[in-house]
Amino acid sequence: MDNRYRSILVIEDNDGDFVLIEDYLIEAFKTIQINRHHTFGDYIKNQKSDIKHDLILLDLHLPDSSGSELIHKILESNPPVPVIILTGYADLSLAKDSLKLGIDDFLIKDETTPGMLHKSIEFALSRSLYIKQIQTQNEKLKNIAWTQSHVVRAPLSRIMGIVNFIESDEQQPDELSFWLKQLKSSANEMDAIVKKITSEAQAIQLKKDE
Amino acid sequence: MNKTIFIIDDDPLLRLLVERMMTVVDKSLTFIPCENGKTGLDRLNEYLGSSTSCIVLLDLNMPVLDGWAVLNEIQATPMSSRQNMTIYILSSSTDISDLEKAREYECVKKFYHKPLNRDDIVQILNGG
Repeated sequence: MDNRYRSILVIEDNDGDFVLIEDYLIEAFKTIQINRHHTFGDYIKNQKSDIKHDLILLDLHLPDSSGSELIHKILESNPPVPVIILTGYADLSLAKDSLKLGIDDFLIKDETTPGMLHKSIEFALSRSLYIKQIQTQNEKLKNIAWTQSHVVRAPLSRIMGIVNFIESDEQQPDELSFWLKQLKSSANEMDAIVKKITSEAQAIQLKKDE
Repeated sequence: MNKTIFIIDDDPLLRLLVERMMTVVDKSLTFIPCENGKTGLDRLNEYLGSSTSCIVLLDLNMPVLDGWAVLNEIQATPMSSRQNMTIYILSSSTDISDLEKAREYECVKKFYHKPLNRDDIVQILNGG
């Protein structure tokens, strides 16, 4: 029995199937909130007002949409949480293909046990947590790359420009000390930027538990 | 040659450096330094009536109005069809997306990465 609180949205029109899934969920999780929609339309209509669920269990045959169309529709609705498909043997190959599209897992209804349901849900949740962390990390790395290209290169290119000019030997005799002073100040500016990037890069760490 | 050079860049040292290096190559140049895109556009508009040719060195990252906004404004006005105005981007950015974006602007003759060396300067003054 799992003590963690989970909130699951079940989109299932068939009452018998829903009751079964509900039983399994209650058996697998000690504290669970289960909400239900009967159709895909209901899910879309309530997407904004619904409480924030941890995961969606989706029956592949709903009155207003089914099969491949339903898979595409739910992914297009950009669910912020993992989606697990509930299906029969007839849709096995479709269910397998859906994993490539972005569905997190599928369960064959007749084979599902509370243990399997629990495992599938927990795996999907921990995977999605890691993916979110990696996405955040990628975002930060992209920012660092941008900073390298724009912010670091500003004082650096100034230093290189000043050196070009000094090398050209065209400056007035009293000018040199001015340009050397500018070199130093640009070098200091660059040093500060590099230090800032280092501390930002060090702040990127995968949080193991959340 | 009597060319006018617009240096639109928020870095005063860069403006000074370009001016000094260009003067070495051609003493007859007139410089109009502008500290951001807004000032740059104002000065360019004032200059519209003039018949002497001008070269615009445009930085990308600037406060108030950045280089992209300046380019958008230039493209949207008759300024872009001026025969005697040559626009160069002069940026410290090495970001590939900036290079690609710059290609979308027909009025931009070339993208230069800072710093300019003497060969670049000679090339720019000779028309790219």
